[in-house]
Amino acid sequence: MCGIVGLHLRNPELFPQLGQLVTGMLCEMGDRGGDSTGVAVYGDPTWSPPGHGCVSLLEVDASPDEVAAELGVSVTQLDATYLLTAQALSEDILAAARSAYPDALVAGFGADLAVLKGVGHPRVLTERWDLAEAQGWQGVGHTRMATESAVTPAGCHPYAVGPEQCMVHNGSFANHATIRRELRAAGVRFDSENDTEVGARFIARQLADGRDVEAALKELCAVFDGFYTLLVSNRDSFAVVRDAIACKPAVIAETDDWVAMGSEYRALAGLPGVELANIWEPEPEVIYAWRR
Amino acid sequence: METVVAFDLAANPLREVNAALHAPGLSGEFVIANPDGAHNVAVGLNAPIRVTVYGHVGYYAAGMNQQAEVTI
Repeated sequence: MCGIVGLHLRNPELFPQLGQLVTGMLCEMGDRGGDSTGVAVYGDPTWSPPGHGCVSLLEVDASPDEVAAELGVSVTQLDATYLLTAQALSEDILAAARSAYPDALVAGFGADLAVLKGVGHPRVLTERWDLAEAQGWQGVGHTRMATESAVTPAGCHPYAVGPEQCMVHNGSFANHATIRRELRAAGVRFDSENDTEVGARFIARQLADGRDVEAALKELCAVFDGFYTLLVSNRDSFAVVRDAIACKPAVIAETDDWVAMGSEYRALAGLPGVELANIWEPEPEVIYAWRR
Repeated sequence: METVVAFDLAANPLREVNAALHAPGLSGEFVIANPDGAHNVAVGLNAPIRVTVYGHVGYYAAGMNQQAEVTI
């Protein structure tokens, strides 16, 4: 199954509540699969301080102190994830980290983005991360029932493979092996055998080529076979798309204060003002996108 | 006129509500408030009753119904 949730806040008065709201949404979706859990938070002043680049790493073969000393960055450990921050471009921190720790798993990078993920149920991991205390303008989460690849940190969503980008997926891509082979031949590096990573790398490539998120998702619909409800976020955008059959559930709710998406309505039931929200089920192959 | 029995899923556990709706010899009218997208609301009803659910429900709502009239 898998459960996906996303919350894009429009009203800055709600920014301090982002973590608490996303925690509630994600834990509600824990019944849809508790193999692993991940979350992307945009704009938390502690995890990704203003003026700093932030890189999220897993499976680093060194202690946080050793990484801090080696790379000259601040390192915060949140369960299995190391958050590296410094007054530098996140791309530069990432390059240094990849060079020093070539076997580490990159969970995400950007100026505003912290990605936390790991094997375990959302109730357990959100507590270890203290996610309820997080602030910011946007959060995306995933709770996984593994089908296409192993239950490992590398198989955890989100896949945040381009700067400030993040993708979560409910479903399974059928032709991911073919597309991975083509992308590898074009020089794209992969961290896992997971089908979702192929989708994320495909979108990152489209965006890097200058396409906007709508065009990138349209191209994904044309190229990928299989089942998918996808939530694709960037520092300034939030987009949802479903495959042509749309058998993987999705509900979108929108108010003046926020846009939210969940695999089921119950994930949205705790949001402030949801009783007056405009609520609908996204149509197949229609791209819904919002911008800050 | 019969009284309407009201349940509030924000206060009453779902199993309790479903068990009440499974009571033998049941008749009359029931309303359920605050389902908040819960699964299994008013499942397996086998009495000639009327149930109105005010709100959004999740999977299996009113599933396996025999004789009841359920409005969501």
